[in-house]
This record gives sequence, C-alpha cells and structure tokens, in this order.
Amino acid sequence: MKTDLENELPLKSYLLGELRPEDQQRLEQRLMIDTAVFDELQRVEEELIDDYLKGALSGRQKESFESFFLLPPERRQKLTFARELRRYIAEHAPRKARWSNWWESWTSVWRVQNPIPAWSLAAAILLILVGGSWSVVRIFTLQKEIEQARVPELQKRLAETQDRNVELTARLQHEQNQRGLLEQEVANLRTGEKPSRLSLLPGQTQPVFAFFLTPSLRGLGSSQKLSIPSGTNLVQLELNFAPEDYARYRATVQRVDGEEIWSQSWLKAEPAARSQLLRLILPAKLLTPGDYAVSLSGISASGESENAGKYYFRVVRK
Amino acid sequence: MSIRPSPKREWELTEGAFTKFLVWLNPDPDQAGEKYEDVRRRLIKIFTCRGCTCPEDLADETINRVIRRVQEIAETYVGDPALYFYGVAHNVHLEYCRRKPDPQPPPVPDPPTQVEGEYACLEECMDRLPSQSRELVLQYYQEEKHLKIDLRKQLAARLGIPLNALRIRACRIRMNLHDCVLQCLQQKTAA
Repeated sequence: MKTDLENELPLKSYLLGELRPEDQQRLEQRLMIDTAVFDELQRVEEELIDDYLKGALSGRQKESFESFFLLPPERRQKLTFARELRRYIAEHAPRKARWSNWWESWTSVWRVQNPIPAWSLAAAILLILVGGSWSVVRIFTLQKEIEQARVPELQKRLAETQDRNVELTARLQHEQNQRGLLEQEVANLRTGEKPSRLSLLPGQTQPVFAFFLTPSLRGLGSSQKLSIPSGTNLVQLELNFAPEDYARYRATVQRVDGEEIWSQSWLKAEPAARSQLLRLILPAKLLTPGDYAVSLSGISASGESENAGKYYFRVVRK
Repeated sequence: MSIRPSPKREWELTEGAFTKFLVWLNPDPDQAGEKYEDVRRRLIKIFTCRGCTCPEDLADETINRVIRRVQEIAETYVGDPALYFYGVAHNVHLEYCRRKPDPQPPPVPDPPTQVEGEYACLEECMDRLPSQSRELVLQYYQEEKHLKIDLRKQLAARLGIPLNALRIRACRIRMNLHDCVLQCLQQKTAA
C-alpha cells in the first residue's frame, strides 16, 4: 500500500534512474529540505531491495536495479544485509504467528478505520443470531405442542385398544360359552333330553341363565321381567333388533337411576331370521332385583356412534 | 574502481573560514553542527541515487566548495542554505560525469564465510535490540503476502501510531541494525 508521499512523488522511478532530468532535480531539491521526503525515500529504497529479493520487480525494473541501483557499494551492502535479514526472520518468526495472523486478519474487520461496514456486519451477525435462536426456540415449542396435542389422541387410542382387549376377552369367553351350550344341546339331542336355558358350560362351575330381550318402544313401562334362578353365575342377555349396517356395537347396562353397572364394546351382531342378534354375558351378581335398561349403540366404520335401541327389563329373584 | 574528484589547492580551509561557514548554517553552534551532518547525509544520498560509486567523496567535495563560497556570499545570500549545497552538488556531479571513469568490475558475490559471518553478526545485533524493537522487526518484515498490509496495520494500531510512522520506525531500526552488523564485521575482521 503506497503512502501519500509515495503516491505524490515518483520515488521508485528515481531510485531506478528512470526520471527525466528536470523531474529528478525537482525531487532532489525536496530531498535537501524536506525530512519527510528524505525518510520516505529511505523506506522505499529498502522496499525496493526487498521486492528484488522476492522477485516482485518487473523485467525492466529488475534490469535497472541490477545495472543502475546496485552501482554504489553501499547499495550492494544493503542487498546482502536484506538477504540475511530475510533468512533470520524466516527462521525466527514464531510458528503460532500463522494462526494469530489468520485470527488477527479476521478480527481486523472490526478495526477498520471506517466503522460503518464493521457495524453493519455486526448488526447483520446479531440479526442472524437472534433470528436463529428464535427459530430454534420456536421449533422446540412447536414440537412440544405437537406432542401434547397427540397425547389425548394417543390416550384415546390406548383406551380403545384396552377396551377392545377386554371385549375380545369377553367375546372369547362368550364363544366358549356358546360352544358349551351347543355341545350340551347336541348331547341332549342324542340322549333325548329337552334343552334348558339353564345349563352348565364346560369349565363353568355355576350355571348360565339366558334371557331374550326385544327393543322397548314404550320405555320402562314395557320392560320384561327377568327371573334369575338362585345359584346362577352368569346371565346371557340376547338382544334382537332389526338389521343394521354397523360394523360393531357397544352395549351398556344401567339401573333406572342411570348408574352404569356393565358395558361391552366391539360387539358383533349375529344374523338371525330377518333380524340381528347380540349376546351379552354378564355376571348375575350385578343384576340385583330392580329395573334396568340396556342401551345399544351402533359404531360405524368411521367410528361414529349412533343409538341403535334400548331394552328395559326388571330383575326378580326366584 | 572509484572516481576521485580533482582537488583544488588554491584555497586553504582555515578555522576562521569554517567558523564563518557554521554560523552561516545556524547561529547556534550545536544546531549548526547538526545541520552540517544533516546536509552531508542528504548529499551522500543524492550522489548515491545518481549512481555514483564514491558518494562520500563527492559530498565532501561539495561541502568544501560551499565553505569557500560562503566567505563571499554569507552576508548577501537569502534562502535555505541546503539548496545552495544542492546547486554546488549538481555541478560537482556534472564534472564527475564528464571524467572518463575506469570500467567497473562486475560485482563479486560475497564468499560464503563472509555471508555466515554477517549472519552471525546479525544474530548478535538482533539479540542486543530491545525486545519491542526486535518484535517489531520480526512482525513488520514477515513475508505473508496478502496479509502483510493487514499485519502492518494491526501492528501500528497495537503500538498506537499511524501506519506511516510505523514504516519510518521499522526503517530506522533496520538502518541501526545494519550499522550494528557493519561494526560487528569490522571488529571481527580486525580481531
């Protein structure tokens, strides 16, 4: 980088003997009276020598340097000294200077004389940092919100899965009970005995009482009487209703005061003669004497629940 | 081979003439002495820059002629005495160029022993430098190409001086270092 004096005065050309006589005289008169020009000339002289040693001179400059500049012995001594100084600096400059030079070169951006670019860069970097931090926080917040929003849905699905598990277990038991009844009937047919609705199923130590229910159109007033024999363990309620297109059903048994005492989901209807049939098996001990209502809900394929019928009955004990 | 200026013996330098010359440079004797050394240094530089092989001799010849002329012009001369020296130096150089110089032998490369001797003196002189000056030299003259300008700016900022002042300071330290090396070489040669 040239100084103002170097820009103003052709010092390098003067040192290489390339100035016109009148320009040379004008410069030399300044050398005699201006200390700044004299000092600058000495500095440019040393830089010229360094440039020569680095091979930074043009062909013409190099020729002038060797044929004119090096004529005085003092200049040849300076050239030798400069060569040795380069060697010394190469051997003694600290290794970490490479790293610190790089670092200081980067940080020199903050020390430029014109602060506007440095401040602009600082503002831009600050903006990026703030924006980036906000984005990260926002992402975490959204992730949390998503997880929180999914929790109820996941809980609902878990509950439904658990309900289905219970229902499948009950259904399996129901199927086992049905199989037992059929086997008993087959046996009775073979022996000629009349089938009974109160029978023992394989594996059952207590008898199962089956009761057929029809939908009630007139509420509790039209409830059917259910006389449960003592010693009955299970009661099977057989619900008969018109054919519907529901994928499955849900049944709840409530007392007339609204207390739910039993429920089962994932019920599949069996086809019957011009109707459908659902079998509910529930513990007999739940059915203490009193009035009850069975609410049947049809669950569509999309999961929507609709009222599919209500059945009223009154339990009396024998 | 150097060209010696032709001596003129008609006029003898006396103490009185020299005193009158110093007073003409500056009424204060101390400042006159400094002015004398300063003018001599600048004349040597100009003769060197003009490609002269004996710049010190030509500078001394110039000063001798000015001292002789001052006896006549001291009371009437107006202006910076340094410019009068320059005028006389210009004529001295013209006479130097008119003489037919002996052919200059090609520069002989320094023998390796002398180079190593100079390097050893340089190491000694660098060790003798104040640590701040030593660090300045090591950092100022590093060769990293595109980083050199930035490094020098940072160095100037760290020292709290303008870049141009750093350049001058580095140059002076280097000149003093060179003088130290030359003295060291003379001592080793004499030893």
